Amino acid sequence: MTSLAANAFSGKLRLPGFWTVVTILAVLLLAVFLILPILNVFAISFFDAKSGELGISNYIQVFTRRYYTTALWNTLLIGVLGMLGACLIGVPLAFCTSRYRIRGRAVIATFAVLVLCAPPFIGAYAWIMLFGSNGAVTNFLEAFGINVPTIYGIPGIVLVFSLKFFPYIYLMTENALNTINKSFEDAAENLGCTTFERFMKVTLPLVFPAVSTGAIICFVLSIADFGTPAILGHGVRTLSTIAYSQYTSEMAGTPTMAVTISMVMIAISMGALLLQRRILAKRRYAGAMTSRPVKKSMSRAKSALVHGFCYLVVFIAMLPSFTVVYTSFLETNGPVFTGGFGLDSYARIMRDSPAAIANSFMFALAAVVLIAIVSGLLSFIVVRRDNFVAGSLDLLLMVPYLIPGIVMAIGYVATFRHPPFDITGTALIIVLIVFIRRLPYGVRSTTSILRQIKPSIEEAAVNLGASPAKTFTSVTVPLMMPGLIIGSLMSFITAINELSSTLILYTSKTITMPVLIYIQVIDGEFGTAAALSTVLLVSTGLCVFAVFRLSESKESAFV
Amino acid sequence: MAAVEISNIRKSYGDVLALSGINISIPSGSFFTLLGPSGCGKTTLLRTIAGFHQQDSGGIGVEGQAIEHMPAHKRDVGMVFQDYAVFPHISVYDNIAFGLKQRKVAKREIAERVSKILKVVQLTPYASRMPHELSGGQQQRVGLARALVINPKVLLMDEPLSNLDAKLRVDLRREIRSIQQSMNMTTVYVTHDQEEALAMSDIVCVMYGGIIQQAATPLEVYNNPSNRFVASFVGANNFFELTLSPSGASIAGLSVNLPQAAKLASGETVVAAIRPEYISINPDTTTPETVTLTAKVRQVSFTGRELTVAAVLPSGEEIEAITAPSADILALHPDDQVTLAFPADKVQLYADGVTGARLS
Repeated sequence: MTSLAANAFSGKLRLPGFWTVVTILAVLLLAVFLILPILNVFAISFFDAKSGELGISNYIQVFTRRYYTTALWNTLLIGVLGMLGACLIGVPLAFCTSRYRIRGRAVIATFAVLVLCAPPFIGAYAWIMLFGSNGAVTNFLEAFGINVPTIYGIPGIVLVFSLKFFPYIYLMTENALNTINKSFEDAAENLGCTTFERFMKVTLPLVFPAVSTGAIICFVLSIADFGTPAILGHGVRTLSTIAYSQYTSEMAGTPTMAVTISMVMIAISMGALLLQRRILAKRRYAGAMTSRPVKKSMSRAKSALVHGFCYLVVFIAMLPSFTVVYTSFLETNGPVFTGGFGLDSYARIMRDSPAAIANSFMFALAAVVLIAIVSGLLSFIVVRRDNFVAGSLDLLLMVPYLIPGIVMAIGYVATFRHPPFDITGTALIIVLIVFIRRLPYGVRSTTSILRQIKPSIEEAAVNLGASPAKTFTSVTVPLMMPGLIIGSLMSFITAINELSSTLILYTSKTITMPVLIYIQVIDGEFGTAAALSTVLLVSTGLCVFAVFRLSESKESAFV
Repeated sequence: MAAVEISNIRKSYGDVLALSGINISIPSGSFFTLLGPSGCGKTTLLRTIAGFHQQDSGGIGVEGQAIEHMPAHKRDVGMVFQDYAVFPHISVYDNIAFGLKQRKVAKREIAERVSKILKVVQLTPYASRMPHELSGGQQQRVGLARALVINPKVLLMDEPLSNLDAKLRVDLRREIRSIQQSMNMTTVYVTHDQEEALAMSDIVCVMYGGIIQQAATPLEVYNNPSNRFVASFVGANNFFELTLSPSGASIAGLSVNLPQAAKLASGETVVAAIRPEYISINPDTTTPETVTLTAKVRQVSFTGRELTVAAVLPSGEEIEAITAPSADILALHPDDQVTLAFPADKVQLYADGVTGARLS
């Protein structure tokens, strides 16, 4: 009897387990929709743009021709300056809110998150409406004979990036500052450091990992951003804008040069990330949370100064959003503002572009449903399965963060245009690209909650006779639900605001709100653009509100 | 027939050998404890039986059926976890009914069996509570009831009491033992607490370095350790070097009369062990069968029921004695000279090394 039973369960007869099947499917999914498009982009870049010969001639062009080298230089400059600007705003703000008693700290944090989640290109065109050549502030000041420095070109782009991306630095640094054991700072003081020395020698090094992680995000996002340099650039070209214009001009043939530029962008992002990892590898601080930092009260003058700084920063950062909402309620006559207030712009978008609004919500929702299902399964593999595939999946899910939307979109066109798998021009391709680009947000959220669920709870279910699949649905999923919901909301926010990849993939039938806003801004239709942007802002705001209500970590859930 | 038969189990993680040559036979209805320090392989062995780890080789039989290649959810062995692992999203009742529902037991029978087991673990009033409303001890009762209600062929318990406070630990261990005895449930229990192991078990199996050092009754393990590791891990013990020369044996330079050392070759490195409770301090009379040593007091500590005297031999080796409290001994000061005496036949001899073999 013993031998019979042993035979029944011997290795040869066993069917592959549930998780083996899921792992294989996950690998296939990522291989087709993530790796293949990137490999395609990579391969195309090695065939000469004109002759089609194999070689590195395209790269030689990118690194020698002035047209490309200026763009490369501009991109790096904007990336570094945008990152530094964000640090200069974010670090002091974090220090103020974590070390001093600030009234309305929650308001500051909420504004920071709203800035983070607002569609990135809104900043660019709102600043034009204020400080552009015909901007409200420009005209007002010129009436008094004051000349306003131009908002166009590199300074303007850097300003927009600094104000747009500082919340990453602020939220991460504040979180780190709040979890530094106060005893370290007390010890430094006890050993004879002045307040400033203490900050430079102890506090800052301790939060460096957080600051640098935030900084690297700012850098990668700055060099990948398309909308801001496209709107504010005025002749200043960056890699993403020339990739786009090369792509649109090469529409008939293979977008070789656009693709080559894209590879250079990916290389820069990866280089930056690897550099930061390397620096961080040597800095691991074991921290025991025995005494939390205390918030100091301040003298009246200092308090006014610190409060003034904090509120000014978030006010300026929110200014584009306020401007957009305000503009959306102005009466217009075509592209011209008539001066009165009204709902004219809203009436026009409801009449002219209901499809864009419906598309945006439908595509984002479809992508989010996919993200929720896949991220639940993927995070289980990453967290619970201890094998080579699980380890590489974790790493692979970093890739979408690094690949600029334009690059991914070009890869999708190159990959999915061959019948019978030709899905270019369909809603499916947009849903899929948004899904793959925002999947990491979902996975990160479900992964972090799954790490808090003790594996013994799942083992108990298995031990009581539940199959692995049944254990996942009846025990893991219910316990993972808060993370799933928060992850879905966050991916919804980023999905509905997606511009850079959809701009390449859209057709008149699959146009979305961000694409339409971009087109209208380029055409000078600020009124309807503002109304559409307000719709985006409000739906984003509602999602942020929901995350705040559901998540215990509130604003730090967003970074 | 033995309820659990483990033969030649081997398990490695890369280059690290976690289990090797494990052979165990557990009689039906007995309480079998795996005892050892952390990293000794006891939990790995338990989880291998449960099917959470796959062995490299070897067999596991439960009631005559080979289960070593079965998936974990088909093994029909109940498990109680160190961190309770009570499902936090369902009620106490649903937690306990979980395994029965998996087995497609009829609803009425589920209700009967759950209410019966709730009575056994004294949780009847808590059936509709959610787990977070329960204390740690109550949650572990849910864990126990949940494993018992499916009538498993064998019950596995992984340090179930280690997250509870000391008083509750003693209460609950008595309760677990009496439930186990009344249900005649074959149990494999893992602990690093030697007192717990001695108090609860029919058989204590001491493990170290992935190898079974000794498996025997609690009394046998305490009184007759098979090697130096068991002697040091189970109960308190003093070890010092025994020097063997043609003229006889000596400890810390003092010659001692140990008949059990007579057969040993001179020049061999031998360790002598004496339990602290056999040592008397400054005794009035001694016999030829008594070993006496002189030592310097380091510390006297009073713990209520007994006195512990820590002292140092002239060789620098430390020695600890446990005696009934007395005013004379309490009055000793550090650096006072004392005479320590113990019966020669209580001294056990071991070969050198952590798991040195028993020589006497």
